[in-house]
Amino acid sequence: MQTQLSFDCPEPIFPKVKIVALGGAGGQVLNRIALPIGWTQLWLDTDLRSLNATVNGGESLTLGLKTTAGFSCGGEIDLGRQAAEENKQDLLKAFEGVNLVVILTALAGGCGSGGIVPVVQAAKASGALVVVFAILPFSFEGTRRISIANQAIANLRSESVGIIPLSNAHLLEGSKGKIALDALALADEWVQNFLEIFTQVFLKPAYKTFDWKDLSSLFGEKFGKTIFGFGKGSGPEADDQALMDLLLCPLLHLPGDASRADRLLLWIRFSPDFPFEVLEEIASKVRNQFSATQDLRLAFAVNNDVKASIELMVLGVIDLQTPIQSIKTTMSVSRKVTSVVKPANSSRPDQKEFDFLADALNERGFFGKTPSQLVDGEDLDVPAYIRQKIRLQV
Amino acid sequence: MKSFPCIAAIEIGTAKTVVLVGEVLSKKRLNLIGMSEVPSKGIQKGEVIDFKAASEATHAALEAAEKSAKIHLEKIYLAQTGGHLQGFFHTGTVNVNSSDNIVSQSDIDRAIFEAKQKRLPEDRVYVHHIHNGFSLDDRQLLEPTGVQGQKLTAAYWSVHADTKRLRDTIHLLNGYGLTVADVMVSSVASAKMVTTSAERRSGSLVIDMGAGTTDYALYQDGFIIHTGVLPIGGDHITNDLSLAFRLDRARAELLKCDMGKACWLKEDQNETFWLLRDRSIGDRSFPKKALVAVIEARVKEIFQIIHKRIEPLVDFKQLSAGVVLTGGSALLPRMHMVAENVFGCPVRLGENPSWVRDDLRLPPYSTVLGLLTQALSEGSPFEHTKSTGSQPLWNRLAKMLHLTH
Repeated sequence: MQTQLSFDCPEPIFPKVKIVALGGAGGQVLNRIALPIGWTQLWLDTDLRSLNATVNGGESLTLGLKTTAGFSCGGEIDLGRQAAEENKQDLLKAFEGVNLVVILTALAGGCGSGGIVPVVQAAKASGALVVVFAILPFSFEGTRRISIANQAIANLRSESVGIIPLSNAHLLEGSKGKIALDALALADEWVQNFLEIFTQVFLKPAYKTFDWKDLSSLFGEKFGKTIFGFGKGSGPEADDQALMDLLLCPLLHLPGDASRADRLLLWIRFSPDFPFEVLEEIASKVRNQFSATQDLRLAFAVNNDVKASIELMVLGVIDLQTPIQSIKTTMSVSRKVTSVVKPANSSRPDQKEFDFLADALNERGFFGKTPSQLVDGEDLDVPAYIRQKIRLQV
Repeated sequence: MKSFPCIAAIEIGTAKTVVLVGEVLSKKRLNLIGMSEVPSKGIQKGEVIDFKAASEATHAALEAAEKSAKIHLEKIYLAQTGGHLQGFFHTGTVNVNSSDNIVSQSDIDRAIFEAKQKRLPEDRVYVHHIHNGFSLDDRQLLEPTGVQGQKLTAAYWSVHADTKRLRDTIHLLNGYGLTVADVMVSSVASAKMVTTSAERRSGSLVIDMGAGTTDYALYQDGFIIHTGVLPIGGDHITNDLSLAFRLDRARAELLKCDMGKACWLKEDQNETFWLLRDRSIGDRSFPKKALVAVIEARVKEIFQIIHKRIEPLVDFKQLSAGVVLTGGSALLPRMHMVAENVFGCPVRLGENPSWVRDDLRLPPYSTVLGLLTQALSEGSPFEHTKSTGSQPLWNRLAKMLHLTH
């Protein structure tokens, strides 16, 4: 008697991912970027005319027809919030079954800064993880818009979602000499990179992938800030290049941010010719750089189409209770650096190689012996340029 | 011997101590007969940190002023600043007594008395009650006497100080044998000097940036509705430069005064500066952008903190007279540009009135001049109100601080 064994392999279950454009600026960014396969789109705006002009496939929903009668919010945050709340049921339906929602929005206007919290709440209520790309205003847009954007970020942080602020002013620092269109499109580039990398990391099979649970546990508990950066290198020094590129990624150097993470996902995609110990070295250096000694998860993928190439992505969070440390300097990436893995029997504590600026936050100069002047938790006797992490061109 | 009475005013600042002596010709006329200015010692962020050093410098200033005026001083008016000064808005409401509901002086006195009765913690003492007008049955009035109504409210912005810190400053003057006639908040003194009555009525914010502190006062409808002090000033800019470029304090101060600017413009693009500027070996050249970046970060932060504190009280777009900058640190070039960027309204550099002699018209003297003119004028914030029958502020202060003289 033969026993037949049947092997019913279930279809691989990939997470459902949706990208949402909230407001006019978010819509324009979504319109310009090339969406990788697997993503669905949702366009949200109160302004009917703007919505009609920008929608480019996918679903769209006009928010707050009763509140704004199809017009824009005119920069009023309360209107934006009311408009989004008016369509809460529609939003819940739109996010049904979605595992990850990425929201693109600008936070200086009414629809984005006002509507973002209700939209995020609807996405979370549907069981989705949420990442927000928040485009911040230029300094010349005026203090009111900057203040609106800051308040919106503060409101968002209490919702425990991944927030990647795209500060136009900061991104533009690295774009001197570029033509205006190229400079202004920098925000699009970062969003595009995030989507492409995310698609590679979470939606494509690999040797060692991140489980959806990895992402859920990263964004599941209450946390503070989100860390996201990427880098790539090619050629004989591809690993050094990729590390340097990662560390210099502007998204890791935004004002108010800190390059450390309590929980970190590191994804490495490499060409088949890379030796394993190089990967080990990269992982160790990234772990030390971000002080992610407690919770660092790795995933690897191979890119058979290229040679001598490596790509890195880090995605992490800083827990709410953890004090934010100073930003670290770039690490030494010479091949001559020996493995930083400690010998098992060493009793020396880990050297914090890169905390050159850690003491700077304690520098008070000739106010050293006077009591601290604390305003909003900052000691104002410490130089402003140090606390604001302003790099001096010398 | 002088035939007219004299009054003297002193500002003990972080960078300098200034004494002015005036001869009172009439209720509104005063002749400046003596002046002294000496570098301060033992004062940091507007507060005494070394009593002995502060005493020496203060007594030197008083002695020089007496010599300059050729008189012997007995009493003096004091301008007070420091991060320990805090303020709050308080009202006192009474029912109009008379049967025909006509407001009388006694109703006013009772309302004023009620408005000043809020208890302070044990280590705090009132230094200044700034009148914010009256309202009668929700009608705003400057003078309610003889008007019919039922409920009269007097409003005050009251400033209080840390008892110990205030006592330290008063002791500096007592040590010279002087009585402190009264104390006035520095921001109020300087604000009155650099604004016109029209500006005070239409609304303006006066920011006095000194070396150790930045004082500010907000005017609305002719009244000061808010004052505040940040214990940050020009010395912090100097300290930032000292740490950024590894300079000692004196060189950093020189660098700030000679080359410093509050913000960067395109025309500064390729400019550089030498750090030591004395042709010594090891001197280095830096791009000016670096110098300006350090200064701008600090200046912007100061304005942003003030903006954050004032924003709940006023719409800056409605502040018709805008922002007025005064004080020694306000002389830094382009300061007004940074302020305009932060506040989003017109900003000008304040100047003392044209009737002040030329050498005192600069912003650093607005506080002590304001103090002197306030000491002269009747109905000043010094509140020696005969109608209340209350004691002069000094007597009350002396009792609270257990001072004898």
